[in-house]
Amino acid sequence: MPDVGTLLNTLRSPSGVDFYPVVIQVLMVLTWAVHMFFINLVIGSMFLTIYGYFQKDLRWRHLSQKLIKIAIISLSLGIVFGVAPLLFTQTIYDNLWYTANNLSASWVVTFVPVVIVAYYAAYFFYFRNKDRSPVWLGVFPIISLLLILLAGSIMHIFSYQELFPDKWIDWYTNGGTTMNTDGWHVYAFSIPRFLMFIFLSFFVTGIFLKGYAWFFGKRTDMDQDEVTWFGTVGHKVAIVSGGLLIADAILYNILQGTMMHPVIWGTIGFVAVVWALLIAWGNRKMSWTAPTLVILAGLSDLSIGIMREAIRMIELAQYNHTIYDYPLNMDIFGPIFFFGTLAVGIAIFTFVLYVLYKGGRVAGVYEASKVETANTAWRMAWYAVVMWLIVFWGTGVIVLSQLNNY
Amino acid sequence: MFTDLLGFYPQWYVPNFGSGYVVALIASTHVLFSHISVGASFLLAYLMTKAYRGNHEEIYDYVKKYLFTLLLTSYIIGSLTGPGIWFSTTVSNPRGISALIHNFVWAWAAEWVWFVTEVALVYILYYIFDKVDKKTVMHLSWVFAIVSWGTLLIIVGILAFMMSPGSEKWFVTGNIMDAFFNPNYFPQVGVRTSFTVALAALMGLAVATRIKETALRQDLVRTMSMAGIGGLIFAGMFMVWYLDTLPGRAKVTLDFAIPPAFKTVIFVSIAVLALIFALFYIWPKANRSTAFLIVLMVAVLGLTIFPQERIREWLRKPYIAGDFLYVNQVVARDVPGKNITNEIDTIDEKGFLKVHPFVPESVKTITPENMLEAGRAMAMISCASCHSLDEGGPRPLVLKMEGITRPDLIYQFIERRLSGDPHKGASPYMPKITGTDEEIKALSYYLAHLNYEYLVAKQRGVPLTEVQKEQLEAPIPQPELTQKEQPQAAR
Repeated sequence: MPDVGTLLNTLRSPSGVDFYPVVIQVLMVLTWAVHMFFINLVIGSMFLTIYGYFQKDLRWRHLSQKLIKIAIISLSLGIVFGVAPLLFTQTIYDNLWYTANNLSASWVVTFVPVVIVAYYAAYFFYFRNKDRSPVWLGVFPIISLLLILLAGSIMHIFSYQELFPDKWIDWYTNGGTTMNTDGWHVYAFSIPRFLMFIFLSFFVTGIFLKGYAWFFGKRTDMDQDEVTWFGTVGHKVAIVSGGLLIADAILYNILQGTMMHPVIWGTIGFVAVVWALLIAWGNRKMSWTAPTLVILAGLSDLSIGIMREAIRMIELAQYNHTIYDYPLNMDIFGPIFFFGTLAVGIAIFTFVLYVLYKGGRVAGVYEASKVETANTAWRMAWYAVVMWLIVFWGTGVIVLSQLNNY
Repeated sequence: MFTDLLGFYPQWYVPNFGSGYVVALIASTHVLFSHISVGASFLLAYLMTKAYRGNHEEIYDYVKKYLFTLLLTSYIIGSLTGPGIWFSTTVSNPRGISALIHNFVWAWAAEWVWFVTEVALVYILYYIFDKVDKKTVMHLSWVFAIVSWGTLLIIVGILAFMMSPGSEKWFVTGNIMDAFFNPNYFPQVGVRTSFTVALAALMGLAVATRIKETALRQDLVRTMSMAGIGGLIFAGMFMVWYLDTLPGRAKVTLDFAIPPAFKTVIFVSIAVLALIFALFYIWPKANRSTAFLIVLMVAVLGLTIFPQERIREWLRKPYIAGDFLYVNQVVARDVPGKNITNEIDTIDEKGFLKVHPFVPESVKTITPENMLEAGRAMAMISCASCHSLDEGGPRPLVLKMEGITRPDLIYQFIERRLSGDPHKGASPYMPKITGTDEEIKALSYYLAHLNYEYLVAKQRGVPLTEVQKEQLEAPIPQPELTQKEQPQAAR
């Protein structure tokens, strides 16, 4: 058997990385947190939409209708935000990612069809979930949720198998005797780790519902008693799940052997503070508590993301392996390309989110084109997009004009 | 002892189907839906402008219906099959996708910015369509169009590099821009952009069947048909330029190795599509059946996109990416700009089985006892990326070798055909075989057995030829290893 540290270095791309690994790592954790925020909303909303659908209270049925819409949109956003951490992990943790995936390869390709079916089942329920729709319709969100949990399990398998590089060869070769090429083997699964993300989903969704009640609290065209009640339900869900989340995170880290690390303490401690604030602030109607808690819920996802990354680094440190010594072939054109595009994206989102925020809080049609701030934001966004095209193609023409020198 | 390891990952094998087909299925589906969304974004921005400027309130209903259709198709199946291509290539050719990721991580990250913006905008457009004034919706639709196209503009740079860097420049500099903007880039942008409009027009015809008002429906059908014809004509023109920028070996493969049926099917399917667009333009009333248009889209997926994706994969061979990484994941040449050195010499000297971390210990050293097992491991890591080891699946080895059961003949065939030297009869689209002489003998021995089993199975169904019968009656001689005396092979 090769030395694990040597194996890990060997499995790195011969191309090296073209920018500081720490920058890629930070981007990976940040984008993972956003991805997880939306996935948490999907899972939490799906659970609650099912529960609400089978209740006799009409308010629950209405909550079920709102939540399935949130779940559908969040699933889309969860998918697109998931692309970035997937990209960055393939760059700095390629040795872990490709091996862990190929050990269970057939499950990898199962992931996409599973989510597609889950998506359509959720949409079917969304279209037909009315005040008087039949009980049997509830089968569809159940199917959808089960498939999403299956997809989550598949992702969990890869992330978790990554943590055992000392076992990979033995797993794949059955102790050096064969090659498990079928890809259906699952070699490692941690129920406490998996449950941590489920509890986190309830915690985030509960707080999100408080934010929902705050955001739509001034809409005259909505039943305000019901909107307030949605916030109350969210509050209760978040309190119960927050306690379970903290307990489970401690249990998982004890089992993983990482509990004593200060970063782990810090991340669990942060979630505990958010939970304590949630309890301390109660269900009071102060205008700033709900949006503050929503931001803190997002930061809780970031905190769990940092914990997840810390566990990976602690495990790899056993083999004297770190991403910070990944061979570097510096090439600044790539980061310029990305951060330039990101700046344009931010300009677009500034315009779009302004319109969404203002439009969402008033009844009737919002005349954004007659608002000076919105117009200024629009012009900036449009100029940024056009400039991007000009610079992008200009670069292309310059690069191609120099090809003949080689 | 293990310092000579190379970075190969566990091998995945799908019996009778092949991991390559898994990738091709996902990729083709993605091409259909993602192309529709790009083309549709421009068609919708055009219609929004027309509706706003001309005060055509009735067009808004169509735009909203189209956006809804996109949400239910492109932004579910298209969005998921995009990362799905990563997932499937991760397990079918991890070093291939890793090579691309490590060259283009920032380009892909930039594409991700557009992707996030595009998906957010399509939801926002649909859900605030009646909540915000139409001038703002029109503005948003143009941003949506540009960012949607932006995803295509970026991914094409990566696809073009996969085909070939196009010159020695990138090999020397290792610079992302030299890899990205290669001669194949702009013509491919032209082909794909034009084709997106044609595909979106097809979807637009399907959505138009849902419009009840006759005059509006006919007007939209004409608009979509014209867009479809224009898209196909421009795609054809850019295709001529695109073919001209292909590397020489790809042109040889295209002219001599790709079965004419593939090319004919693509040509005929596009011609039929153009005819249907023309028919609908002349006689817009004929566009009534949504089911017909869905069938047409499936036909385009199966008869135009899928074979085109297969051909593109074929033309890249013997490489999977960038003219430096073989389809079987061996680094075939030096890339000084990236400090990459070719692995062929190391593998030839040390042995493929030895340097591969995930080959079991039991076959790393070849003996008469484990020769069959070692040969299978060699076939798995050297051949199975493209060739099925079963009767079904892509390019099955048993069909390629027509049931030859003599290892020495197979050995000779491999030594010449996969020598990498055209003067010895090497195929231009096959990678050079890598490994020690013993490993190639073990591979030959295994392939002889594979063929034998194939003939036995065939005998049960169809009578064998005289030559095949003779082959079955003779024992498979085990190749001689250099160090040890060989016992008689047993069956």
